[in-house]
Amino acid sequence: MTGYRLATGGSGIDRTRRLGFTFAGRPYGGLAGDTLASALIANGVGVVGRSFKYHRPRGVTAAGPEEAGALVSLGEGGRHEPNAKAPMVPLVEGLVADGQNAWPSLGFDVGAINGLAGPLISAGFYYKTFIGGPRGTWTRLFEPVIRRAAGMGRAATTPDPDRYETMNATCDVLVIGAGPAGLMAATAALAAGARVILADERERPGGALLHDLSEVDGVPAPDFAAATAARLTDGGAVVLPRTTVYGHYDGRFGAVERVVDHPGDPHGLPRQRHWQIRARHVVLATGAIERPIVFPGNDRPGVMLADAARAYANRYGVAVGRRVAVFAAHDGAYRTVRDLAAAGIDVAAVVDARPAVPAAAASLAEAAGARLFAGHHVGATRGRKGLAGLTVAGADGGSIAVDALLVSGGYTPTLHLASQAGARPQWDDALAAFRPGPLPEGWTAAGAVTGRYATTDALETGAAAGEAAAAALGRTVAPLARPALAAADDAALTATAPAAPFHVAGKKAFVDLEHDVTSADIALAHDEGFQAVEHLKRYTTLGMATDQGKTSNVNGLAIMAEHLGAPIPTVGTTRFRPPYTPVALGALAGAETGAHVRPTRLTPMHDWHATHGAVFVATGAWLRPRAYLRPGEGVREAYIREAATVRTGVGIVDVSSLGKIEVAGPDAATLLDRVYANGFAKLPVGRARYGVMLREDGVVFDDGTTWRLGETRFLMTTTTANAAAVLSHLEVLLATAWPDLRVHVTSTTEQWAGMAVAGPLARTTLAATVAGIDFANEAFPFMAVREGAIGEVPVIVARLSFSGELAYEVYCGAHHGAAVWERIMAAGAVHEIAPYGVEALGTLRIEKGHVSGPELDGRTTLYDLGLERMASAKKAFVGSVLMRRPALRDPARKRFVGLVSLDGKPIRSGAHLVGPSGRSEGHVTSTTHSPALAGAEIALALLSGGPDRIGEELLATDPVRGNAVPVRVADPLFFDKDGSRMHV
Amino acid sequence: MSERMARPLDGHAFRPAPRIAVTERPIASLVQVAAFPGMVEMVNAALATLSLPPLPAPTRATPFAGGVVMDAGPARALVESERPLFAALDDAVPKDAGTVTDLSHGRICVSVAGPRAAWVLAKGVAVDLHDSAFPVDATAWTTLDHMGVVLRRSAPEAFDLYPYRGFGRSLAAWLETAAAEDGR
Repeated sequence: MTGYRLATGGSGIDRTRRLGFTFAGRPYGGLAGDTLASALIANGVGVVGRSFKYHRPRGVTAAGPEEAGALVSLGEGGRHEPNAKAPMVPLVEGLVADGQNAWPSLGFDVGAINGLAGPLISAGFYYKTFIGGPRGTWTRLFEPVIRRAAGMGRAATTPDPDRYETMNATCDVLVIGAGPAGLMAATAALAAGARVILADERERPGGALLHDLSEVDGVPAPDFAAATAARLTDGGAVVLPRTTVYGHYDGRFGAVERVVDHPGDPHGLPRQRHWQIRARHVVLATGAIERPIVFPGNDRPGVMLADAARAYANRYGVAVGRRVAVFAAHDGAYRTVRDLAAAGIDVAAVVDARPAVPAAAASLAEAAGARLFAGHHVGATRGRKGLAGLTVAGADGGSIAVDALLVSGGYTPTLHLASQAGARPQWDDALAAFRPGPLPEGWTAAGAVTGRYATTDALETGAAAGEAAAAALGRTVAPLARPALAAADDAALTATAPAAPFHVAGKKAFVDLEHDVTSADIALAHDEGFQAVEHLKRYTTLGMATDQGKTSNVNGLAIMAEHLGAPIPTVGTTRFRPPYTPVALGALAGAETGAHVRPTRLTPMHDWHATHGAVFVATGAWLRPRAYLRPGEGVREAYIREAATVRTGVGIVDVSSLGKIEVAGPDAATLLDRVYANGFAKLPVGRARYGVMLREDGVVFDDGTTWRLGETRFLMTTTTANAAAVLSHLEVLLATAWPDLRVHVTSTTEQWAGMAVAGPLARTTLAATVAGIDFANEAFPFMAVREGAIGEVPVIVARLSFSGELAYEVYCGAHHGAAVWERIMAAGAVHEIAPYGVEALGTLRIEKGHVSGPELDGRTTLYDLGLERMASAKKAFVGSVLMRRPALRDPARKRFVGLVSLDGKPIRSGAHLVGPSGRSEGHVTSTTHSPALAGAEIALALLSGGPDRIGEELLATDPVRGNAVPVRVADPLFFDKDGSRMHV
Repeated sequence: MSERMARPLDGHAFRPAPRIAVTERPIASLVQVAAFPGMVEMVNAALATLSLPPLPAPTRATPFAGGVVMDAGPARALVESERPLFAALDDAVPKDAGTVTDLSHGRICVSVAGPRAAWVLAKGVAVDLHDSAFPVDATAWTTLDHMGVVLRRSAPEAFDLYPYRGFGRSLAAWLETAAAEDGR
């Protein structure tokens, strides 16, 4: 192909604005309005890539998303993007593009040696060639070799610097495709007052009008499209050019808008925006894709779809060759003959597969000065890196020298979205194509997708579809005036029947250019039994990946049908799956990358923690202080110091993230009595109780303390992790099991700031700063709840202990949390009060053998945890029946024990406990260094028959991290066994 | 001891953005009122004694002088007001008719106003915000970027978002990013 820029013409380009770009490392010039493909052709660049498997040179084959040859890579570094289709890439100043699958260059590609090995790497070759060899041959040899050789471009290896975002949209009518049908549908729906979204994958609305030389309503077709789109926007419709509706998902559509899809700083704009569109009615105006013809050598650069060549001439002012031929099977292709001749391009020959060519078409060939070969085929092409000539097969055939061959076997309506939504395409013999079968409710098709290819028909069916959509939505519809198309031959060139799909036998006749699938591969699949359409696709890779059957589907089916001796409808067609065109992972991820993968939740005292050396750990969305590092400390040194401070003086820990649920109403106590395993009905006002709740299956669900604040008001606390799950659990029970209970449950997690003050000096510390509460042991006993104030801030204080020390939890309104925390810190300064984090919190509770998240793992029962005596025998509660299943009381179950390291080395959490059997008999759940136990390394574990094995020595082994520690099984209550320290 | 209140967005200077203004509107009082089945009329009567409007229709809010009552689910509402109302409401609502819960510290209010407000919010909220579907005083309990929010249209071009306070800064960061561009 020796393309060039025509001296005149090109409705879509601005000849006064030149743009520079590079391709394959060489600088080129183009014009504003060009695509990368049109600019490359204008520069005479013929080879733009190498094919996937055989590394054959490939050029531009189309002018739209059906491009099968010009797959290119764009951008550099983190903006590098593979597999872009050159006709879909708008040319911008500084664009950097490159071909794919070629080394060292597009012109000389070492991989082209694969072409000689073609017979060895036909369909299914992976399964035949790369078998055998010793163990590991596949993973170490075959797979790496195949991966290096294969490829559809290379992914970027550095982070993408650009921003992507998500948009939600709802409308009455979604019009997909802004060609003549879509524009009219949107206009009609908008006129009836509907909320309209019009989306189109191209740079600007217009579809086929953009390369039509005719006039609509007295103005050039492209101007009519622009004016119509502008009127839609002015009228309130959302018009989205550069937006591909790529998928249908359960009634919603996914679309990608290329907002600033080119190199350079996007200045705050996202590069792409992913739309989720919910529409009450859908107008499918997706048009049709021209169908190639399968013949030997049909992949040579210079062989192109006929209407694409017309688009390059009319819209971009680019000639695809100096002397061209057309190979056609229907009248529509003669528009290319007409328009290229008008542009001054030498149309040497028209090869038409039909023996009888209608007069309207034949006269255009004659007018163009082209020799018409009716009833002939193209039998072969020739040329080294580009087309140099072709052989016409047939009675009057012969050799013709041309540098471009423009083919058209007919049209394939673009049914991808309808197929995704479950609508089966129907074969139409007269059209020689699939057209829409029954569409989903609320869908209407208009324009070329229906199999009516005339522009007049598109304008008419589009307006009718828009009116029908508005009427279906209950809108009053005043019929829209239909625009008039000037071209007299529009209907004549689109109405006549095309030839049935056919192919010209021979070697290297490609059905799917993207995947190097030839007609021989389909014959092979047939011979080897992969005849069902879904098998054919998978065995040969026909129509997979970025092609999604756009150009290859019908030709592939037709060839298989011929081998089977069956009509095409009985062979069937594959169901299209999203996406219609490739979608960048960045667009799907949207803004949720890096630190924004999910939001973080901060406690009221977060800023204090951050300025006092805290290192944080994520617990769900919450960030909690792990430990407060002092100069020279690591986390381990800090938590050991913090835990020791609590045992000897006083410490304070932020417990605001604990789940808090207000349980209120006359029947609140009844609800609690039913959901907790232990009794709550008689809990007096001003007292708290530790409770454990089970799932219906008798397995432990969650634990925490619940405080009775008033006769009908309780404050339930849950673990941080289960806060939402417990609330849902209660809501479901109230809504379904006990709707008669007068109880409301409300999350108050964020209403309260909570802090636990723990240690022998906790009482002295709080007594010095809390007014209105007598902290004497008798006046404020263990598990009591009192109300007081710190300064003017009301506080609720509960005497609870997770650490085993004398301890109190202080709750106040969350906005006061930081002030109250600071006030307590000030009061404790004289005692050298220290804040402690979740690591020390863990140390203290492990020393006391208190269970927590790692032990409440959704598999353990009260029996396993040694808490069975908590379960009330006097009442029914959630889980009370199933917890008594014999298998849940098997002594051999993994049950709760303590472990002590025998060699003084830390025990790994997650390590398996191995005894003489040599098998895992349990695992370590929680582990710590214990300052209270003279620096012992201790742990909690779940061990088969655990409580019966106290004193036994095992190995806590962690082969993944290469660690094994000898341990002795112990009572999990390591410290202060009589609990006297918290009762002082 | 001062009465110092520290909200998560105190002192936060929202990054200016084209045709949209994001501000925090401090909440003085936020109280949930909920009626037991069959007790809506009694709760409405209690609200009336305090000159407050009744529980709103689903997905609606009812403004009153100095506040607004917002739907919070079947027979539930949030009452936001300039004057503290928890104690008065807790006294007014009979214990066998419903419950009253103080949430004044639990949520904050972020106001998003301007011609681009709906566009920016639509990047994170799946609710249809078109004025025909979500008119002034429409209220939704929804999520924005995984954060639960109560969303109310407070004016033709203004929305109030009520996230839990712990998400305040994440929400501010999200809004600033989403509002940074002026559409297309």
